Amino acid sequence: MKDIALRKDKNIVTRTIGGETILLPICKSSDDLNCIYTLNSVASEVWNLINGKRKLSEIKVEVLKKFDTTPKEADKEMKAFLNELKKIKAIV
Amino acid sequence: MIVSTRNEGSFYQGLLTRIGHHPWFGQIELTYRCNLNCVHCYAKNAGNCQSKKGELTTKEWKQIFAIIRGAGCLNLTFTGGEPLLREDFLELYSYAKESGFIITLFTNGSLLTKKVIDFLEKFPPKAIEITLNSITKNTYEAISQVRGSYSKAMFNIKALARAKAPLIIKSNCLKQNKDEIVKIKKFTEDLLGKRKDGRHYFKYDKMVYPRLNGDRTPCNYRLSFKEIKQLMKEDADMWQEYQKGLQDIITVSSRDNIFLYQCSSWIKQFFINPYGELKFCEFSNKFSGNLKKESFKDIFYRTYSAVTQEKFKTNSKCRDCRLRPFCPYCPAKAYLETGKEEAPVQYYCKLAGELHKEMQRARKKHARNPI
Repeated sequence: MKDIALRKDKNIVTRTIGGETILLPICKSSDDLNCIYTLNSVASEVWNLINGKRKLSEIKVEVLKKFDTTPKEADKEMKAFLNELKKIKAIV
Repeated sequence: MIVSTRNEGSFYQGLLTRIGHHPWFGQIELTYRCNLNCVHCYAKNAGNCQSKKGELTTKEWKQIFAIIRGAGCLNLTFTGGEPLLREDFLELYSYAKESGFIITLFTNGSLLTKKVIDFLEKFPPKAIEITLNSITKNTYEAISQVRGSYSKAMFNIKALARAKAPLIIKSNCLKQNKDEIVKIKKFTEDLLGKRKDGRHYFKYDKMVYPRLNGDRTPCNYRLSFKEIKQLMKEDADMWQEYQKGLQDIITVSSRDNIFLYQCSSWIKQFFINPYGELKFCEFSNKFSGNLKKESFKDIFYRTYSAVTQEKFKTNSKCRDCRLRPFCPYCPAKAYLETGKEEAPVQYYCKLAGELHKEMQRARKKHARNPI
C-alpha cells in the first residue's frame, strides 16, 4: 500500500442516515443505480479522513487511536477497503 | 465486508425495523401547472394551477431540500402537474442529485428537450416514469386534450430509450383506453425488453380518483370490476398477477378499527405541494402545515401524532366492514369522493364486494384442485 493521499471522486455523495454512512454514486456507471454502499464503522472513519491531503499512514494513525486493533490488522482492513472504494470508483 | 452493496429495499428494511417513523420518502410536487389537460388527472385545477403565483422559488425549494436531507430523507420523487414546466427544473434536479437524494421523476414526457435528456443520461435518476395512456394519436390526444402532444411524448420516449435511461412506462386504465392497455404494455416490451428481475418496465393503475379540488369528473372514466377483469384476461402476465392476487394472504391492519387511518404510508413518507404545504398524504391537506411558516420536523412529527390518534367520529359502515381488507377505501379518498372522510364510496363497495367473491371462488377452486 503506497503512502499517498487519496481524493474522493466528486461523483460520490456521502450521507449519514439512521447512524449509517452510505455512499451514493450520482453519475452514470455500469453499476446498478439502485445500489447503496453502506460502510462499517472503520470504513466510515477512513472515508471521513480521506481529503486529498492526508496520507494513508496518517489515516492509519487515527484509526489505531480510535479502534481497538493492531497495526497489522488496520493495514489489512484499510487495504481491503481502499480496493473496494477503487472498485466502485469512489476514490481517485 | 467493509463496504456492503445493498439495494434500497434491504437498506430501508433494516432501518425501518430499527427506527420506524422517519421521513424516508418525499414526493415533491414542483408545480400543479401542466401543459396537458388530461381528463382523468387528479391534480388538474388544483391550487393556482394556471400561473406560477405562490409557487416556491428556486431558492425556497433548495432550502427545503437541504432541510429534508438533514432530516434523513433519501428518496425524492419529482412530480407535478408537469415538473418540467418549471424553468429551473434542471437546477433543482442537479441540486437534489448532488445532495445525495435518490430521485424518481414523474413526467408526461412531452417537454423533455435534448439538453434535459443528455443531462439525465449523464446523471440518471433511479427511474423516469412516463405516463403514456395510448399508443395511438387519437386516443392519446382525446385523453390529454392537447393536439400535437402524442408525437412529442413518443419522440421523447424513444429518445430516452436510445439513451438507455431508466424508463418506466405507466398507464391509467380508463374507459377511453381500456382496449389499448395491453398494446401499451407490448409497445413497452418491444422498446425496453423485459427486466431480468422479473419486474416490468410497464405499470398500470386501475384506479381513478376525483380531483384534489373535489371535482368528480374523472370518476366518469373509471372502469367497472368486470371491465378491469376483462382487461387483465387479455394479457398472460397481467392475468397471472391477478390470479396470484386472489390467492394472496389478506393483510389485515394491525390497528384497532376505531382508528380512522389504517394506512401506514405516513410512517415513512411525506408530500410537499408547490406552495410549500407539507402533507402526509397526496390526497389530503388535513394536518398539513406550511414550510414557510413552520419547521419540517414540527409538522412531520406533529402530523404523525395527529394521524395515529384520529378516530372514527360517526357510526360509519366502513369502520367494521368485513370487506375493508379488500377495499380501496381510505378517509382521504372518501373525502374527495363524498366530502366526508367516513362516508362509504359506492364504487369502492362494489369493487370490494366483487373482489371478495372472486377470492372466495378462487380459494374454493384451489382447495378442490390444489395443484
